[in-house]
Formats: sequence, C-alpha cells, structure tokens
Amino acid sequence: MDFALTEDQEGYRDCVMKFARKELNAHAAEYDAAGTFPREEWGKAAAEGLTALCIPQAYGGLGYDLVTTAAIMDAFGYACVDSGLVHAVGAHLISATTINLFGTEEQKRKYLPPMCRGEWIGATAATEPEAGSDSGAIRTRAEKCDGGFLINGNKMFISNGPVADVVLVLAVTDPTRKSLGRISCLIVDGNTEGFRRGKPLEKMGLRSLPTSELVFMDCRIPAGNVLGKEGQGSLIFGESMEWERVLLFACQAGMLQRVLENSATYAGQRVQFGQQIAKFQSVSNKIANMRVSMELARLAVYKTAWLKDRGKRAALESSITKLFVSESLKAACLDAVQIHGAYGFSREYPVERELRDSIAATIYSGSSEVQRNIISRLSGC
Amino acid sequence: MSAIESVRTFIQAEIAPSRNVELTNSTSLIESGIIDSLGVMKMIAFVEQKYSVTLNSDDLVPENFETLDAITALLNRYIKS
Repeated sequence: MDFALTEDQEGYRDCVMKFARKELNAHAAEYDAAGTFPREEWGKAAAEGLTALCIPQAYGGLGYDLVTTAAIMDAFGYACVDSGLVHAVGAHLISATTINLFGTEEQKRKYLPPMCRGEWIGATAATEPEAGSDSGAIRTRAEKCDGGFLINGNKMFISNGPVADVVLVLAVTDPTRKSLGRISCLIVDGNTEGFRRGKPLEKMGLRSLPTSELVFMDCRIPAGNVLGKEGQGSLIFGESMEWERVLLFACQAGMLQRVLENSATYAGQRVQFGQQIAKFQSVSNKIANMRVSMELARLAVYKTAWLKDRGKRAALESSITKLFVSESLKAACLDAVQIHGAYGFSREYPVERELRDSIAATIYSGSSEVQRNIISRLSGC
Repeated sequence: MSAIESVRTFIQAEIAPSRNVELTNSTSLIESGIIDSLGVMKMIAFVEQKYSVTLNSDDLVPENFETLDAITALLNRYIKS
C-alpha cells in the first residue's frame, strides 16, 4: 500500500493550482452574483486539458488513470474559487467518461474529441420533476420510430443543461418491464429538433454552474444514439455514479483544504480578548475537525479511484466517499462562517459563498439520505 | 460448491434474506422484484470477486442477471475463456 502521489502527479497538481489562481479566480464573485456561466474561463480550463483528463488519448484525451485524475481535480477544487465552474467541468467529464465506458467506436470518435477540447459541453439528464434519487420513477419516454427513437418528457436540475451540446438522457424504452430493463441511455445532440434547454435556474449556491430544465418534445434521434444496449440504462447509470462520486468529490476534498487553510489563517490573525482566537479551544477544535475531515476525505476519494483503476466495482466505497466528503464540507463551511464571525456572514469574504456552494453536494448525485440507504443495504441490512 | 449454488446461496443470504421464496434456476429475479438495481450491483461485485473476473460493460445488461441460469451462463463464458 502506497499513499504517496508520484512526482508526475504532484507536478500536474502544481500546474493546475498555478493556472487556476492566475486564470480562473478573478471574476468568481461577479459570476456568483450575476449567476452567469464563465464561458471564457471554461475555454481556458479546456485549453489546459481539464475537460480531457481521464479520456483515452486515442479520442483526444490525456489518458490519465482515475487516481491521477482525482489528484488533479482535487487540486482544481482547492485552487479554483469558482465552485460552479469546477462543478461544470466535473459534470462534463462524467458525461464524456460514460460515453468512453459504454459507447461504440463510432460514438467515441464522434463525441469525445470535441468534448475533450471543450468545444462540446456534456450533461447527463437523469433527474425529473418527480424522479430525483428514485431513478426508477423516470417517466421520460423514448418510443421506437422509423430508424430511431422519439423522446418525450422533461428533465430537471440538469447541470450544464443551458449550455449542453451533448446530453445523455435516461428514458423509458420498454414500459412493459417492471424494473431494470425499462430504461435506456440515449445520446441527444444539442441541435436536435424537439430538444429545448430551459433558462438557467436561480439557485442558492453554485450559481455560475448553469442548471436548467431540459424539454424533449417529439425529439427524434437515430437508433445509433443508444449508449450501450437498450434496457441497459439503469446499470450504465449505476456505473457512471461510481465515477461521478470520485470526480466531483475529489474537487470537494480540495475545497475542504481551502476552507481549512483560510479558517486557520484567519483564526491566527484575529485577536479578541487580547489573544488570537485560534488560542481558544472552541475555535481550534473546529480547525482540528476540519483537518481530520480533509485527511479522511482524501483517503476515501483516492481509495475509490484506486478501485476503479483496477476494474473493481465500488458502489459501497463511492457512496461512503460521497456521503462523507459532502457532509464534511458542509460542516466545515458552517464552522468557517462561525470562525469568521460577522465577516463570515458578509459578502466581503468568500466564506458565505463557499457555504452556499457546499449545500448542494449533500443533495446532488444521490442525497445523503439515499447514500445511507445504499451503505446500509450494502452492509447487510 | 458449483457456481450456480454459490450464487443461489448469496442471493438468499445477502440480497433477499427476508424473502421466503424458492429460487429455481429459472426463477425471475429482476422482473419479479427479488433483486433491484442495487442488488444487481451487489451480485456483480460478488461474482467478480469470487471468480476473479471483470465483466465487460457490454455484459452489464439485465438479461444476464434475470435468472440463475443466465448468471451461470454468463459466468461460464468468463471462466472458460
């Protein structure tokens, strides 16, 4: 067992941190206030290779394994203060990864090179108004028609939805089946007739991450746009979730480090009652808890990535990772506000934005409640 | 223990311990609701670990896990290859 990153991996991390601080952070607060997608910074992140990390070189990617990718996303989440942009890149990588895992050669050659270059933005559309964590309740219907499928339905809260060029849509293709075989995963090109992106939703946090409803009205796609096989959608989604819970939550482990460092620095500078507030145990205990969470979050992320690199299933480990990292980050951000006092509550410091950005992580990618259900089921309950 | 018996025992003990159903080789597992999506993931992890195989993404389809016969047929392809 070796816990050390390689020299190359450390080098990639250093590059990404320098790049993010120099190129991506200047307008983060403005994008948050306006709720706009940082298109220019997206282009810079793509040029840096962040949209291509774990995609094979044969399809225009950088060909990194998942541990290396997680290490880089961790550094990205640490150094880039625009968490909406970080999430947009992560969500895009998940879509590209799913195509890489289950796509045909033709699909990979068509979609992955422009996705790696960041020219086409990817999204995955599973959630519906009545189907959140319960993907079995999906109602969007894809009926067979001449040479393809006709999709009708609505998807909701889709990350990258308003800017998506490639959407992986989970839809019912066989309503006669009761469970797994009902759903297929379909690739919808952004310019397909009958596909409409909703307006960006107003959100509490991750405001620079474009998120919207997607509407499919007699949206006709060719049969060749089925990802994997018909009826394989639920299993594709399950595998995709394991990758998602590494890619997105590696970023959150990095953000946790930033919150910790900023809180420790502030507590060391702020003087009350004649001493640094860090000298008060009620404050230093919060810093200690953040440190413990950060160390354990990284262990969980990298272990799950290590398993996936070895071709193993990691349903349990990825759920533990997702639950622990998201809840730890939210707790750390709440503590950070408390440590910063009134400054933490004001918009003068980024602490309040980080708290708002952290909340969604306990909801998307399966809520904390659902993660506990999964973990207990996989532990024999 | 044969592969089919191992999988049968695993399902009865780990996936559907509270369901008192007889699992014949042709009992519908997914469509009848004995195994849900998480149960399938659990079973895949079990067979991959027990038989030191990694199932291809092409084989992750419900049909391959619908009955004990189907699971055994899938496994045999990997064990023999």
